[in-house]
Amino acid sequence: MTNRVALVAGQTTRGGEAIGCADSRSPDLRRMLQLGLATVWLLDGLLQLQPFMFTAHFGAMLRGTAAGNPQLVARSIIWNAGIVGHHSVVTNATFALVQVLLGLGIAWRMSLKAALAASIAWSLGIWWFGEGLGGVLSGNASPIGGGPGAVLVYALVALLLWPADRVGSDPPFAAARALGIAAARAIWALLWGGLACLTLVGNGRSSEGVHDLLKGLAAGEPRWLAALDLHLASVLAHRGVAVSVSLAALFTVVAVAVYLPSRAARVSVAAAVLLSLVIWVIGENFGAVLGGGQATDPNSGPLLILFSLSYWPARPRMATRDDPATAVALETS
Amino acid sequence: MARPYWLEYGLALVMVSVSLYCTGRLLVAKRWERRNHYDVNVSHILMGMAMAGMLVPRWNLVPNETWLATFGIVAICFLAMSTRFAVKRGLGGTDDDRAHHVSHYLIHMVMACAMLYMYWERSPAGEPSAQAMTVSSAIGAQPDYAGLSLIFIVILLASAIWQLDAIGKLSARQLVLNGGAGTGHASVHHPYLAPRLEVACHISMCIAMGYMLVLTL
Repeated sequence: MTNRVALVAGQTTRGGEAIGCADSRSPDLRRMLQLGLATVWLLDGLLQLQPFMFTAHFGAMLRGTAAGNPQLVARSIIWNAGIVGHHSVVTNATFALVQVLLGLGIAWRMSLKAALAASIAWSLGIWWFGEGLGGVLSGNASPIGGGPGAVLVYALVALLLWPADRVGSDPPFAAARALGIAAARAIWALLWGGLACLTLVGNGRSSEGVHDLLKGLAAGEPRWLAALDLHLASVLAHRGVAVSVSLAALFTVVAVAVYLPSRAARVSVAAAVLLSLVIWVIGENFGAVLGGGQATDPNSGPLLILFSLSYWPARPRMATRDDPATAVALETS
Repeated sequence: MARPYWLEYGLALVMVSVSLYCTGRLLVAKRWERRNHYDVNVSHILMGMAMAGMLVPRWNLVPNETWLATFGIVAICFLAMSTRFAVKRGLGGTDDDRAHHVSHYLIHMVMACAMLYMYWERSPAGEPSAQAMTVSSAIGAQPDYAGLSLIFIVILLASAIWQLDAIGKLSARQLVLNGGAGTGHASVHHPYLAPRLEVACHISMCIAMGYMLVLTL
């Protein structure tokens, strides 16, 4: 038994850090969320291998994100899209390989830190060159449709799940472990508050904004999903302002709820997860991955869910003899 | 739409390698007196051969109907093993090595179901004489059941990621230590045969299958 404990403890620390695993046998919430992020990166890598991505059309798709952006940003996007369009096979294979490696790198404990750091840099690169800054500067960043860009949330999640412990042995939620409680709460408030703002500015708040967005999604989707899109689009026609204001109010409540006591915070995290799920299904149609081979990622819904779950209030840890750290304390006391 | 043939040949080669490696495991495990997951290795051999045949139709050695029947049987076997395991050890129980749970059987059942789905998806009832399947045959179609592909993809990729996370604790030595208390003498003298390589086969198979399912979206 002694050997087993020693070996397990050795594995947890061999990577040089507390990986987020009290016992390598049962990963804790942070490690589970890291694995969730890894799964999404792996999915992105495989989606990048769809035949459409190996054609010049993919470059044209990237070029389309330049529209409405400031000239400096638009030029850089068009320059990148030109390279991708001319060398679509090599560039796309590289994109796919990088994303698969990011997924595998996060999952493999020895390369966790390097992969998370690389994923942040890669996400920001995609946000600029692949998503046109998520439409933030062009007024098209409606959170219902994935604004301000899914990859921005990838970077935030990677930052929050960084394998460091600044709060000590009993953090109130997983996201606080790497950055501290105040910084983590500020990031939560900033993201959900930002979503509230984006709901009220740009094209999303027009009376037909939500209707047009949902109607546009229906093309190419399976019949049941297209029928849902068209039905909701007709119900919400001319009601874009009311929907935007209601959604902004919800986002604001979620944003401030992170400062509430644990029990209320739990309700707000659950509401955030539910809201993210609704956005993912209705506003994003699962990232349009069912829509005919042109989706590069599952959009922001799953990432918002991972982000929210990293704020799930933790139960205070119970000291047991099975925990190697507390076992030593119990033995010596 | 043109698809990268080099990628499909590459993946097919990996699948053939996995099949050959698992065949080798079956052959040497008894001779070297090492413990082995025979059920998993047999299913990896079958899935590797079938997937290689899907990726490169010329390499498809067996009619699709035979594969359908085969994976139907494999799925039922793993369902039975999952049920037996759950009844005997409970949903939270572990195997003799204390490393494998009921999910060990369930994930292989899901993989067999995914194989069935891919064969069924490309062999509609209206086309009983469908020739050797190509992965691209369903591209562009958005059938109502496309969501099923996404569910399979997420499960398989999550399994690959989960297994890679756990690969460090699956060395033969670790499994001996884990299982030592339960099976004592037998596990110490008959450790598992290269458990991490077995997991690597599983991971590569999940990723390859995920890729093929992505092409059905």
